[in-house]
Amino acid sequence: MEKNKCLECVVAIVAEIFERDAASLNVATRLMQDLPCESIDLLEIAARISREARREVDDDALFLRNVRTLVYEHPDDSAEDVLAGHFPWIDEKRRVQIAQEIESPAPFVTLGDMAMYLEYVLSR
Amino acid sequence: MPQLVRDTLYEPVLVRGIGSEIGMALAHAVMSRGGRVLGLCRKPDTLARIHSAGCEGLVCETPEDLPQLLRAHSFVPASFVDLVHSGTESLLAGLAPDRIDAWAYEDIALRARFLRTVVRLMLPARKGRCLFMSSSAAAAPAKGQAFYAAAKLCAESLYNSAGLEMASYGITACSVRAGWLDAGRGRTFLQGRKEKFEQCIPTGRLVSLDEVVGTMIFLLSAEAASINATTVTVDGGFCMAKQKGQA
Repeated sequence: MEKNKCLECVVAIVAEIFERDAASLNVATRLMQDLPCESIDLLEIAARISREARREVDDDALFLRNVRTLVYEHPDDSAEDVLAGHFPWIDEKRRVQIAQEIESPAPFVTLGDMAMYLEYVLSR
Repeated sequence: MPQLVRDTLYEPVLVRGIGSEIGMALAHAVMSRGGRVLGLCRKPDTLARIHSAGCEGLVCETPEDLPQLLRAHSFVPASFVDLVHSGTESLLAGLAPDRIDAWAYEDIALRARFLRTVVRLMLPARKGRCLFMSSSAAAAPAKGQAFYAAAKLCAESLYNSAGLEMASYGITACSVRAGWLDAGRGRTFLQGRKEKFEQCIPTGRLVSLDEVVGTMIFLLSAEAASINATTVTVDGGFCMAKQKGQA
C-alpha cells in the first residue's frame, strides 16, 4: 500500500470511529488533541488497522507512545537521532517537528505518523 | 436441551479447549442451532478428533497467530468460549518453583493473551461475546486446589474487566462457575465417591452436562447480553450450603 493509500486508510478508520467527515481530517490531525480520543478508542483504531494490514500492529509504535521515555533515556543523543533509530518509519521533516515538541506534555501522534507506520509495516 | 434460545446466538463461535467433553457437547449444541463452530487445540491428534466429530478446528499454540489462522478459515468470531482447565492441582507449598512459573504462563498469561487477541478481532465489528468456563473451586477451593482456584479467579477477573471495558463497544463477557459435574474430569474424579459428594449439594445430585451446556448456550445468546462482567454459578447450590464440620 503506497503512502497516500495508507493515509486514506487511517483517515477512513478514524473518521468512522469519531463520526467525522473524512475531508476534515488530514496528515496533521493530532489524534489526542483534535479528536475526542480516549484510550479505548486507541484500542479500536489499532484493531481496525490490524485488520486492514492483515497483521497485528504494535500499538506502542503506532501511537508513538514511548518517544519521550526513549529520548530521556538517551541524553547524549539528539531527539532526532533517537527517533531515527527507534522509529525509522518517521520521515525527517516529521522527526524535526517531534523533536521540537518533545518538552510539551501533550501527545503528538498525528494521522500522518500512523500512516507512515502502516506503510512501514506493510513493506516488511 | 432447552429450546428457549431463539435464533440469536452470537455465532460463529470460537472454542478453546473444544476437545473436552463439554467442548464437544457445546459444539454440537451450537451446530444443531445452525451455528458455526471452530475449535482451537494444541495437538494434531486432538484436531483429528475434532474433525471426526464433524467440527472445524485448528491447532494454535500462540494466541498472536490466531488472526492469520482464522483468516485462512474465513472465520471472524462473534463468540469466544475458553474451556481450557488448569492441570495444576497441588497444595500451595507443595508445588516446585519451576512448575509455579509454568502454571502462571499456561493458566494466566496464555489465557489473557488469547482473550486479548480475540477482543481485538471482535472490535472492528463492535460485536462479541466472551465466555469463560470457571469452577465452583473459585469460590470454595478444596485443599490441593490452590493453583487451580487461583487460575479460575484470575481468569474470571480478566473476563469481568473485558466486559467492563468493552461493553460500550458491543463486546460483553462473563464466566460460568460449574460445580461438581457428571462429565469429563469431574466424572473421573468422582468415581466411587459420587454419593458422598452428592450429599454436599442441596439438589442432591451432580450437575449434568446438559445443564452446563444449556446455560452456556443461553449465555451465548443475545438475550443474555446484559449478563456482563459477572459470574453465573451452576452448582446446585453447593457453594451456598454449609458443609460438614461447619457451624
